[in-house]
Amino acid sequence: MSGPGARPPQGRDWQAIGTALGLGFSVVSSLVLCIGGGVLLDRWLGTMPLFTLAGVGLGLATAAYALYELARVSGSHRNQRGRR
Amino acid sequence: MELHISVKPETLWTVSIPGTGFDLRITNSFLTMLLVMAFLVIFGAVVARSAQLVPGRLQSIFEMVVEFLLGLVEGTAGRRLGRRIFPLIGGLFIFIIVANYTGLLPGIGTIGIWHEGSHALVAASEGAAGGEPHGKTLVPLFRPPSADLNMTLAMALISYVAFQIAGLSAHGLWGRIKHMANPPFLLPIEIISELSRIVSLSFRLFGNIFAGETLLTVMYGIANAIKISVIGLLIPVIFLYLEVLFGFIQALIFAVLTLIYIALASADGHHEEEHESGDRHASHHAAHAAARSAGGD
Repeated sequence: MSGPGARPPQGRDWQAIGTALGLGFSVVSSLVLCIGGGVLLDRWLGTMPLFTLAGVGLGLATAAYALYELARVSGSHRNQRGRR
Repeated sequence: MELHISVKPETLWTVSIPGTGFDLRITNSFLTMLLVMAFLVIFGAVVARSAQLVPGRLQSIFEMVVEFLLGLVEGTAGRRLGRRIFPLIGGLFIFIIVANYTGLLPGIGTIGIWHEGSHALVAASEGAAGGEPHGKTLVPLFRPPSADLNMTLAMALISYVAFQIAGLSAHGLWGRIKHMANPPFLLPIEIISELSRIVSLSFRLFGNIFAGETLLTVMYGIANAIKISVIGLLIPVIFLYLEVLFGFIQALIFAVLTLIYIALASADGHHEEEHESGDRHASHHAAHAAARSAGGD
């Protein structure tokens, strides 16, 4: 809903929109990359499930790092608007 | 009702390259991509050559698009870096949005050639496909380029190479490694993040556009099967509107993320931008923070 003081999205808003919309795939891709890499390494070295579990941990850490950074950016956007 | 949906693009013709033993497969998405490129080059050249100080209607539309993109790029990456990478980001956005919208044109996915036993992205109800030769399938002559993983992967690789070059030119090799390993335990996460960008950029664009094409194909099939002309017209129209929206959003996401990755990779390499004005200073920090965020994804 746009209020009376609403303004059209500007450059930085589009940037935030793009980042937020793209985040879901980015979280999934880091998980898939890490878990897939772990499964392949385990099959190759015969160490199932060592690298798969490590991949799950690393993938979750990468995904959490991405989410943390987005939250930080949203906070910095809000703070800048508040200052203005 | 019969639906044929193929994830991989269909080969229309095979051209052998003399002396190499390799065959060049001309797929329907490749053919459409060539047409999109030709359209953009010719259209761009015509607009640029006929540009005047007082713009006409066509030139105004073109200038609006360029100004929107330039504002987006400069607002994120700063004036100097923004102007340098603008041709890449603008080119990516315009090419992807036109490529996405080709799927909405009449004839795309419906005009084709009959092939033996091929699967194509075509919907046909039993009644409507009365003229279909037995055992043959219609292979569409055109397919949206973004509904082909080869194309989106190539574009993601271009984006990856661009932000690696930007990072290396801003910091040098050792500086870039130090930039990523700050603090050092984040280095593996940063490396995985950077590699996952290729996967996320390519699969996001491909997934969304291919899903949209499949949805439209199913809706055309349903509309064709209903046999009531008003409903048959209305059902696809709703989804066509949605596809117009998704086509724009996906082009924007690809361009914005590439822009953010470049800004992240070359961050701290253009300090002079920060001192242009107080607002510019805040803007740069927001861009840097956003870039850090996107670096995480």
